Amino acid sequence: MSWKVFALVFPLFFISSIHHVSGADQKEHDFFENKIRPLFVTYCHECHSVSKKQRGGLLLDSKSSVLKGGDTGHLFIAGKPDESLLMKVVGYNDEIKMPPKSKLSASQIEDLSKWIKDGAYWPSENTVAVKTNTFNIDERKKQWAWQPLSKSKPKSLGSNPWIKSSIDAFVLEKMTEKNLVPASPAQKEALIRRAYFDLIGLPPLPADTKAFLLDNSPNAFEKIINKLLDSSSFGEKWARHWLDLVRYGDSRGHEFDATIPNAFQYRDYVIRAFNNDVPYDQFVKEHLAGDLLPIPRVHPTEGWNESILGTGFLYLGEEVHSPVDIRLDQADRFDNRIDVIGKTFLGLTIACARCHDHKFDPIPTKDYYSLFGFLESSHYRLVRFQSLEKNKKVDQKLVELRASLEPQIKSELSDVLKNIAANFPAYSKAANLGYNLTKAPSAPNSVSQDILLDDFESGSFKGWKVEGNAFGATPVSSNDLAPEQKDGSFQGKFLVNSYIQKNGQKIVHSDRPIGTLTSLPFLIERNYISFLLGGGGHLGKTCVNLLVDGKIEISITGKNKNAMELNSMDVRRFAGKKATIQIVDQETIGWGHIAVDAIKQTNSVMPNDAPLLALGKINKNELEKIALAEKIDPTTLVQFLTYLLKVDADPKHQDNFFAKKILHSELRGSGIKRTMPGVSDLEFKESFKNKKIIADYSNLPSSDWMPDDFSYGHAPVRLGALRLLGDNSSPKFQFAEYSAAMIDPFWKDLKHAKGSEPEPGSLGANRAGRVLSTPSFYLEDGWVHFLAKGKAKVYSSVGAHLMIAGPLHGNLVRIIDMNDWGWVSIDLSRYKNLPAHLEFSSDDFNFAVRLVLQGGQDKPLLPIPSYENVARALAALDDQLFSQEIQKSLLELASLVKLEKVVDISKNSTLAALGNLLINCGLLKIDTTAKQPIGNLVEKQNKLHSEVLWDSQLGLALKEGTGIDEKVFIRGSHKILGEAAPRSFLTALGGAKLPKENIGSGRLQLAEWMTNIQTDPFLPRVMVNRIWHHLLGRGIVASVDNFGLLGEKPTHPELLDFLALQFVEDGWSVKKTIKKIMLSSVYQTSSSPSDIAKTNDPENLFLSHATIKRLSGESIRDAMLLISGELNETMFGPPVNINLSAFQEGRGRPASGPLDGAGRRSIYLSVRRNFLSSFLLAFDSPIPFSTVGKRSLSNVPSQALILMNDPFVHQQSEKWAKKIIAQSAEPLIRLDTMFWQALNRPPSSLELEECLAYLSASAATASDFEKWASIAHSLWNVKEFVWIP
Amino acid sequence: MHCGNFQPKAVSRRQMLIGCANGFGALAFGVLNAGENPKNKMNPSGGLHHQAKAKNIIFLYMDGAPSQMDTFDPKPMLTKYHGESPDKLLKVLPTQFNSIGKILQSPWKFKQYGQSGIWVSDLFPHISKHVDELAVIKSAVSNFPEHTSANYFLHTGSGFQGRPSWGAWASYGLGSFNKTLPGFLVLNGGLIPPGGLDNFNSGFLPAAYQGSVFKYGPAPVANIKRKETSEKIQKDKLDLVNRLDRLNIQKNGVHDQIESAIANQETAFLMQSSIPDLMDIKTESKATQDLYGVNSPNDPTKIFGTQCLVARRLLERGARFIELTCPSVGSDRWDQHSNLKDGHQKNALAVDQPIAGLIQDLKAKGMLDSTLILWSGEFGRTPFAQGNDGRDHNPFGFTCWMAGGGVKGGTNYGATDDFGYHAIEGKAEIHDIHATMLHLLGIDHKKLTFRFGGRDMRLTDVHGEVISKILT
Repeated sequence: MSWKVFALVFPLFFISSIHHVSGADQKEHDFFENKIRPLFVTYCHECHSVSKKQRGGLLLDSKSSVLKGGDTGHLFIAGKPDESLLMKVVGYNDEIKMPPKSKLSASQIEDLSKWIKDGAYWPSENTVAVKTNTFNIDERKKQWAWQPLSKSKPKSLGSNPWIKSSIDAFVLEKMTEKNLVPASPAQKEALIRRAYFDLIGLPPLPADTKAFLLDNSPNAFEKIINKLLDSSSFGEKWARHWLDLVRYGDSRGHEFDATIPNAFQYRDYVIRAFNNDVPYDQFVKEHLAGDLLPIPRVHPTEGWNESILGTGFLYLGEEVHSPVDIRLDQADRFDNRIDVIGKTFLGLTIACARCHDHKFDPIPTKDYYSLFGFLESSHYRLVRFQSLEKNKKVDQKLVELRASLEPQIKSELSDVLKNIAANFPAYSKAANLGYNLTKAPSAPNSVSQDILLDDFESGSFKGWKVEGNAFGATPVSSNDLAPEQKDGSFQGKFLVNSYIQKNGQKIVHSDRPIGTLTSLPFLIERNYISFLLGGGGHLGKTCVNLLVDGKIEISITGKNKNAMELNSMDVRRFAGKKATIQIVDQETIGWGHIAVDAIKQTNSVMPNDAPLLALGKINKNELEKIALAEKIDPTTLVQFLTYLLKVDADPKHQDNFFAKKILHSELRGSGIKRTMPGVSDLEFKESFKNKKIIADYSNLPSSDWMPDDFSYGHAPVRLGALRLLGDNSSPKFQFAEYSAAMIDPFWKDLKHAKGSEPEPGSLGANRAGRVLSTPSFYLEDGWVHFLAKGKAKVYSSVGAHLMIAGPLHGNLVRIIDMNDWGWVSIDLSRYKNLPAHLEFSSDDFNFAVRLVLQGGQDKPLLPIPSYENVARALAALDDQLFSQEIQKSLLELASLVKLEKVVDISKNSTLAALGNLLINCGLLKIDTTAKQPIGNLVEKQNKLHSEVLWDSQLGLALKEGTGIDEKVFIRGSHKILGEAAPRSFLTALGGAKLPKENIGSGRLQLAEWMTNIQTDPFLPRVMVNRIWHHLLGRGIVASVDNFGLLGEKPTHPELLDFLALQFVEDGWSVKKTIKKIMLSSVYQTSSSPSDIAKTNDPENLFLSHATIKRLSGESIRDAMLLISGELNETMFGPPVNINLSAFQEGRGRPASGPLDGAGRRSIYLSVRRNFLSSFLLAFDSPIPFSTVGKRSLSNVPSQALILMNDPFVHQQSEKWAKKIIAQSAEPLIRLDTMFWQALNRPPSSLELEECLAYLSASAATASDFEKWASIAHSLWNVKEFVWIP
Repeated sequence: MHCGNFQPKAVSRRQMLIGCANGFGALAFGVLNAGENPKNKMNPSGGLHHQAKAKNIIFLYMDGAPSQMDTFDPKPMLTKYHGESPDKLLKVLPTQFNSIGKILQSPWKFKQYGQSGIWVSDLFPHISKHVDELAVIKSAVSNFPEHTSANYFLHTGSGFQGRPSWGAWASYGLGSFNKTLPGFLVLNGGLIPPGGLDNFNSGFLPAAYQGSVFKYGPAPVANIKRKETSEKIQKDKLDLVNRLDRLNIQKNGVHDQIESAIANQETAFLMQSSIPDLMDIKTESKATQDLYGVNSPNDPTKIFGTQCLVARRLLERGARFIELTCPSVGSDRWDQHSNLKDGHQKNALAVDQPIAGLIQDLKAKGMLDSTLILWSGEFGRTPFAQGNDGRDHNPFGFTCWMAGGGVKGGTNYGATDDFGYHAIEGKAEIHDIHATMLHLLGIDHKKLTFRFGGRDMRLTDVHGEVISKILT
């Protein structure tokens, strides 16, 4: 019995236990006082007593509290130790193990058990006052930050000329209070340098500075600001601030540092957003619900969906390679996401409420799990953001087109079917007659004997060159095959098999080893080379190759199947040439092996050739005669007969029975009964009544339809619906055999654009845009079954785990490849009770999924027969009945196609299958000229087809899932669940809840609540404070990520609210806010403090002077590149690998990038979690693990070592020197240029003196180039270069 | 409690900077301790909050997780039930690979050693001679069964990337004794643990406290070697920088930050020679080298022996926290998912003699009393086999040991169950080990905090108890 159940039943026993206690005798009392109470005192009271702590809401020092239990329920059932939580806990048999450090001794445990068994005596006592919970939201909400924005004005603007705006007035007011006066304005050189680094992260060019110095107009500085705000470099600088908040990284860290695919698209999105000054509230909405906005923001020129890229920020964090406890891992990752959301947008440490109510702020644990629910109701995806909006328009037209033509198409189809029904007997008879003509005797075909190349029965690789270790030293014996390979499909005793590794007597099965077998050259003397082939389907990596003249001409890959199948290579075009066979295994991951046997040269015809040979023997005129006599179309007859002959020659073909029926007579009375070898609707349903339906695609609520793009259309395909397959130029048709989710062939050409990154690990490529998700469900016993056919990759997404790779979760990815309908069962029992959904991805038109179930290991029955079985059953009828049955069925099908609703699934499915059979055999033909409705549709679809944007880059994004409300995890443990926490906004901010009728995650509402300043004053305050922090060097609230009680108080609260309201009034414009601040006097003061300021305000809280800033690592690097002339201004795109030193080692080490980072700005350098740039780290670029709004500012020798010795710094010094030398021969001019470039000012005469002295002193030992490279290097080591006053 | 702005406060050197014409590098270093946290006031005993028992720490990190029941925690029950299915005997929990084999007895014999009679397996013939110096903790537990998470946890007290490593905490709390040596050093033996260099990072602590990864050789750490062809060329150049800096100060006045940066440059200059010097073990006697296994015919032993010897030299020069990572032995790290016998044998051979040599040498030099040595992996291994002859990850109970400053030698602490699967007595969480380590350094783990993201962060989070029973 679990404790949860126990908590429900306990009250019954509770009463009886009290009764029992009252009747206690002295013996019980003594036992309690001697054995039990001391035990509680010694082992429990440290954490569970009024005088110490109350961990887990449990006290163990009074009768009432012991009876009450703790957060996880009641402690015991008096009289029943075996069912008591307490005994499980002390027996170390529960999630909770107490006492935590050491297990009690066996006798102590026995005492406790006896105590409970005897009724859990506890003497009567006075009630001890229990500490009350101190968590009081209303009380805590009184903190300043929770108050609404107040409209405030400075007391007066006054007459002080220093006051240029309200900002200055607010600041001066405080300054005056502290007896401070503003420092003098900054020198123009200093001001422009400050502005450039603040806004674009690069120094001004000498010409910019000189122009500014000469510009005496009153708005000279404003012009500079405008220019910088308009510069595309602005986004490159300010996006970096934002990336610090969302712990941006290009890799997932952990064991192998797997790539976060396409993370850089998010980075580029942020750069564009800052450059375009996207209103901040919009920007935030895009982060939370960019995928759900009714009108997404699109790229002004490219038409991309920009909004959806915002949601990718959730997935920029660390992921665990192969967590043993996937739910714990989910909880940890969500914790990180909630932490980032809370701090970034609201400046609140919401994640502190994971295990308990927030210690300081009005945030109950329940709020934390309310937010958790929003995340849990949303899924990860890679989105085709570039094509999304364009294709949405095409999709809409497609839907309209199909709807408009549907009635006519149905009617056309119905007519066609009626027509065939009428003619079928005639065709059947004619085909039979035609077949008999093929049986006319002809000269026996001289079949040459096969030439055996190798069947490996010698047990050796004689005649083969063996490379690598995959194939061992000899062919393997069938005795050594892995059990799953022992299906007998090999020949003889020996075969080639790279799954088996023999180490002496030891046999290991592994995909790891790689190698190649190459045959001796041989002469091609037959039409075909045939062989048995099994194993992996890795193109070019697990395959058999035919090499002619050293070139691979034909390559055949396995099918990810162990059963070996006969394969042939048509080698007629190489007749007489020398060739070699190569058996390849160059793959180490799953299915990284191959098996080959019985390689022959042969002339035996391949199945595809048989009908042609047979038909070749028929005199065409005679067939035409037959057609004429039967009044049927001779061309159709030829097609019909061709098909039948082909199928007849292939006993494995699904229509083989059908051909046999028409062409031969031998099947008549062969004993096959005319019963469909399947089950009725009723039996079918009965077979899974012990299971739960996750998705029934024959009857699906629209809210459960969850494709990630257009590939699956807007609903499952209805049974009997006609589907257009194949190329649009030569369309093929198919009746849907079931109502099921299927790919819409219209979208088949979707491609991932070059440069887009696929999912690392086993999910792999070409998935985006082709994913169909089921609704989410909680796994019960862990068994999931689905009924499907075709090829697909099926990903069981459990606990939102991102499948990177790894040994643990292999069974979460399943590849299916099924010719016919079948049940697939997935054993997810190790993930019992976890939330999950399936994601099907496929590009196979034949892929269809009908039903997804969970529970019970046994598979449900297969439903009624499909395609093959229809043919088989029909074949069993006698000739006359056969024709009649088909005629009747076709007429029924004719009416089915016109119906909307499918009633009898079994029966109608058979009809559809029959329709397909007739399409395949050529009898059911559809006019595809535009005159007819279907032809019209084809033509118009073709036109639409050319409007589709087929290529798209991919971006990280969210996708709607089923709405889930999480339960509170008691004390943060996912194993101990408390009350439900419905999705809602923070209680202290109104606690808005989702409407009842809400479907999906509810993130759109969350975004609305968060951006509504009536309920949420945090959003604008936090953002303007961040801007202030970056411009003034210190936030009005210095703890920029924490506006809670533990954060710092605002130094200028009125100013903060004033700025926040202005920000909102200015349409949440970041640029306008920046400009306002920079135009104020407070931004423009010099950084020299007055003596009073040094004593009265040493930390410069009141801004009487500017704060000296150190350049970020990014700016130091970028400035060097600009100055040396090496800056590559290319924007956007995949990150450039950083240059790794020999000291940067470890698993997942990427290729080292160029020393100069290809000259790109630092924001474009890769941020791989386990291989962060040591250059940038030394200058305090943050480790991307959570929100960092304020970088630490260290000042350490390792920075000096970098500036002195880093090869990049030297390289750039030399590049710079080279340019300087080329520009002028005159040392004074060179020095002048260099000072202007590096420091935005001319050198002083003393500085010139020093430099010239250095140059002449080193003349003897150094070349001109070396000397000037040294000057360049020196100027970057001068403190003025890095420290901006 | 600190704000995020870290700038060492120099004693005023303004006049010196302005007036000094002696050129670069002429100022004596020692004026400024670049790594030291200015707000932490040491008490005279060297501790921050109480008397310190140890001045410094050597952490012998056994990457990959050695098996407790094959090293220090003998389990006769494994022999008794060898080859039987564990399901009947234990509640088997999911493991990393979940390929649960049979109960697997240790391939090694155990014997009791020393006066204390501590059990050691035949894997450690050298270390076993020093058991009376060790406090063997047989009841360590971790929270994570995956290498990377467990490595982060062991190093930072959190299973995720981004927290400061304990070495960073130690040097944040206490600084380095040597101004030209970082407080926290990692001697890279060849294997960087899963999770990468972030195991040694300073997280939200300022970059100064980051572990410096040293590789044995003439340029042991990045950017320590000047690119200029002679010292004079570099020095002349830095002289020019220094003079330009002084001209700027004369013109624009001085800022603390700029002062510090100037001082840092001088320190950096000196580090260029002091750091390569300390790596030079040629000055050590042949006997000393042999003691550590520096001349061993087995290459991994040679590598680890050299590291141990360099570690001692670092201690002598005042490093605060030294971590040693394992050398590659040709097969896997201590992570024997298969071939337990071969893999553990090789890994043990690499570290046994060097560690014994280190203990003996420190003792002889009177340094062991002030140095805490910790030997530990990130978790332990399963009592049942993975496949036939390996052991999977097991975070529920494993063995580590401490020796040296403040540790009661010859102590057995805690216990696992009969199979060595779960710690059941004296459970020692990683937080407890951290708390104990800080305690010995004279730091109260609850008081060593750093304000980040709205919380006063601690190495031990909200956990941790000093394991007082193993202390003197």
